[in-house]
Amino acid sequence: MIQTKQPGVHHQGCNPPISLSRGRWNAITLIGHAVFILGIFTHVVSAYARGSDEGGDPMGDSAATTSSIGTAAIIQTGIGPADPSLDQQWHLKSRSEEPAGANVRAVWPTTEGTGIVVGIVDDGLQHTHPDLQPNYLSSPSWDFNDNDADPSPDIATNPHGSAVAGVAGARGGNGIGVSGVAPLTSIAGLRLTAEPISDDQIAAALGHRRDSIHILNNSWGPPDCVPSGDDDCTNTLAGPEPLTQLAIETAATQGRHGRGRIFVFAAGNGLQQQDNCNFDGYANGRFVIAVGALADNAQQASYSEPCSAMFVTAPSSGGSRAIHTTDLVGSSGYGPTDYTSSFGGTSSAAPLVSGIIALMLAENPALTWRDVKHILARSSVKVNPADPGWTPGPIAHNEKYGFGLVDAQTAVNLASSWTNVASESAIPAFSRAIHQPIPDDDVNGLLDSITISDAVLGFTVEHVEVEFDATHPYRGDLEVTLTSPAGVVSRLATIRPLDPGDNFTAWSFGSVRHWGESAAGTWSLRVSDRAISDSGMWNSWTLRIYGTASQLTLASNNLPTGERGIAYLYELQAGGGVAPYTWSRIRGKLPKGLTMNTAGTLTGVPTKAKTVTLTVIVTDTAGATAIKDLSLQIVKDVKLKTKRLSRGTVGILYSTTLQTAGGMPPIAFSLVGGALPPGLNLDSGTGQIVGTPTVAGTFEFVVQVTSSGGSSDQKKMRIKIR
Amino acid sequence: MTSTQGMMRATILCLVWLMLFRVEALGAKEIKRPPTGPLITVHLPHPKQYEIALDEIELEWTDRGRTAQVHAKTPTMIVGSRVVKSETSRAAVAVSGITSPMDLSMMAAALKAANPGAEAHLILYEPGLPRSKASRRLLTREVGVVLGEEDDPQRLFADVPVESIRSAPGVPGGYVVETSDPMTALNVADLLRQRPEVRSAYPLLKRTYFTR
Repeated sequence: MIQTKQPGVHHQGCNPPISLSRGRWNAITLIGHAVFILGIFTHVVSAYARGSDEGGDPMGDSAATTSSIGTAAIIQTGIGPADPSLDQQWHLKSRSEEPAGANVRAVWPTTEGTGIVVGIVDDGLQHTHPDLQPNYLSSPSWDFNDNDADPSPDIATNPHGSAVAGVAGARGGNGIGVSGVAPLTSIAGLRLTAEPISDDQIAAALGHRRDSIHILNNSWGPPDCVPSGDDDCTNTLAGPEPLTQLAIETAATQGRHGRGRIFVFAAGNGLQQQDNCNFDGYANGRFVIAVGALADNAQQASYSEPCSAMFVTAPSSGGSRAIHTTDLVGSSGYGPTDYTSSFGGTSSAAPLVSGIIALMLAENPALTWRDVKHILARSSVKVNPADPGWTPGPIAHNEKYGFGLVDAQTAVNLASSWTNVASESAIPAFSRAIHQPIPDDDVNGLLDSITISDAVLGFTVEHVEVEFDATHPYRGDLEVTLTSPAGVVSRLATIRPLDPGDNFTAWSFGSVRHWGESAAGTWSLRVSDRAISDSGMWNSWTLRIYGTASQLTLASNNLPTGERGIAYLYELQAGGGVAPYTWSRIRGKLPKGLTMNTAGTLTGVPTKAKTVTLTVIVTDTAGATAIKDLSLQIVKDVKLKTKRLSRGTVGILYSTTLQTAGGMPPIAFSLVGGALPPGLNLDSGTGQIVGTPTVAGTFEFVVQVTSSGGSSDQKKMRIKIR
Repeated sequence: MTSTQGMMRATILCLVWLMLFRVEALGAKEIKRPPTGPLITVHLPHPKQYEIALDEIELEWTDRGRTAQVHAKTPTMIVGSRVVKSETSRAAVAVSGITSPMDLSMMAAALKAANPGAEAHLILYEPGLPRSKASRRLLTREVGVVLGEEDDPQRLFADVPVESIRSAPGVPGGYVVETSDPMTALNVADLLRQRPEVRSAYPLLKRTYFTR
């Protein structure tokens, strides 16, 4: 049943003199002004002709000039949004209009998400919904529960995915219902969570069409301890198993033709039961953007779980208003109409962020998965700045809000001129075995540290992973905090009285709270048991740090000259990257007698004088490389060439210069045996024998020449003085 | 009241307040539920204990057509079993008189034989947690395996009792190995995990995920 039941709207004179069908801004021609009355707002908005949906990129800066003729509120869009419920979508407005507005509408004159595909992994997607159907893409859609190409939900029990899809990408400007954040983005439905599922099914969904589905929205996860139905409420500890871990990593690093699929996950709704999104291995992962919820008063929603892996927050329910979005058509779903005003949770916050990312990618398709994170971290707004949970520094983080409230306009503006960040690097993992009992009911607990050496100076942290292993009969008693060298604290595990499960077995906690810090220095982990009774053992921990290394450079230029027959030793030098380095020669032959090892040491005794050019590559632990051509000269060893010296005469100035061949300057001359005629001297730097002899006779002596490269030669000589 | 008494009273009040505050801050701990069934260790890939429910089996029709839905609504029961709940393609079955995992496995095999097209999953629960959708897992007869990308599973698993091997879509080096029944899947996973070429091998458990 497809039925449109539009709520009453004040929507007069909203048809511009051109079609409102929203395609690309192909040939933009100003053809007139139209007056839109949307609710209480009156606007004059320039309207533009549109081309077809084919070809061309969205045109940004040539969009609308907008002037208000009525109230101060302006809808800053190139074409008047004709969706009758748009004004109820408070979450799309600017913060000057709504304290928790995501500032989305201001972006639409620039981009509306054309060409980007958002996959909605959920309990189904009602693609026949009139506000979803125009953006629905059937080819990449799939039902992983029923294993067919139709992701339609069971309308009796599964309204969730269709509401999620509407937040991200309900068709905008089509004169009905609502608008998604990205009104022209394409939506694919991936039905997955309608039934119990196994790891291979999740892996298949999250790895599905990794090039053609650019963003994957996941408003689901392990149970959040929200009491409902006949289920008891306990907190859980669950994350992706190996197939899913690999599917996420592969799609994030290789998907979207190498730029990486963007994974967005709802952070979870269990705050009232003291849950924390670091106990959800999907939301706290390195390849994921975890999204929390902000109520319409710009306060943390009462249900929105905090954690140090929280990336951003977005508006949702929890205040006086929830989110207005698509609902199953007819009487099915959350309410009796095709739309609902009661959607919310972090389920709704996540697709809002997915929609903003669609706008960013439409504006700049070259963004990598890490660029998207960098932009969101920089562009999000520090809400409640007085909250003590904010870290200091320009990229502040708060476990409640992540990097803050998303701001679509700032994010898209940054995206438009963004230069790709350098490839991701990782500092080799550091592991520590502890095997000590954790003192029961003791806030101080146990403390252990790992020091990252100065070898990684210049490494900028993005994601920190702590693999934690403890044996404990009631793991909810444990609190785990990580303190960085800069003194910033990540509360990785907070106590959970409703988690009676056993142990943390190699559990990976995540934190983005140290984003932008330097990795070098001491990282400390404190583990404390905060409840009486039940005690356990801290077994081990491993620290993994991901981020951007300073650029790897091959510092050695031309190699020092060596001499034939003299031992040669030189260590190649590199800087930046992540030490230790691995060296190899990719072109050029070493002079005979020399070898080069992987540590970059050139050693041996050259047996032939020769000049060679070597092409050398250095690889750091993170896989970065630097290549350079290096010249190496081996010269002949030094020889004293002068065989005979001229005669001298008493009382007459004598001068001659000893001749040498080979060796490396400076050459040193010395007398190592016998004696020169009285009155003559040997200049050790030039080899000149000079002076006025004072005694007649034949004088024998031994001269030694020594090259600065180490070789030497001696010769017995004589001078006759008459 | 002397000043000493006053100070003592204030101190006691302060302590009481601190205790109350602490209780409120930490909340009441959930009572740990003792396991009622035998415990097994499943490597996912890290070892994790589960309790086998000796009183439950779940039938699932993986062909989700209309016929499957009809079957799920009216599954064939055998002695010692009864349908508790039936959904679109699944039926939760209560079983009685089972005292060991081996008996349970035989009961599951009998139910599977009586219901062509159905899979018979064993039920596991997280120990200590109340039995609920959140703590419930379905032990399938499949094993997830991760190999090096160059490794050939057909060659590596030639001597292992598997029924079929298929690639896991979207996962380089990922495979799903089908065995005859859930208990065999546990054994095959343990066997495969010992092999040096195998990076991970674990029985595939189905569970309910929740929308947020």
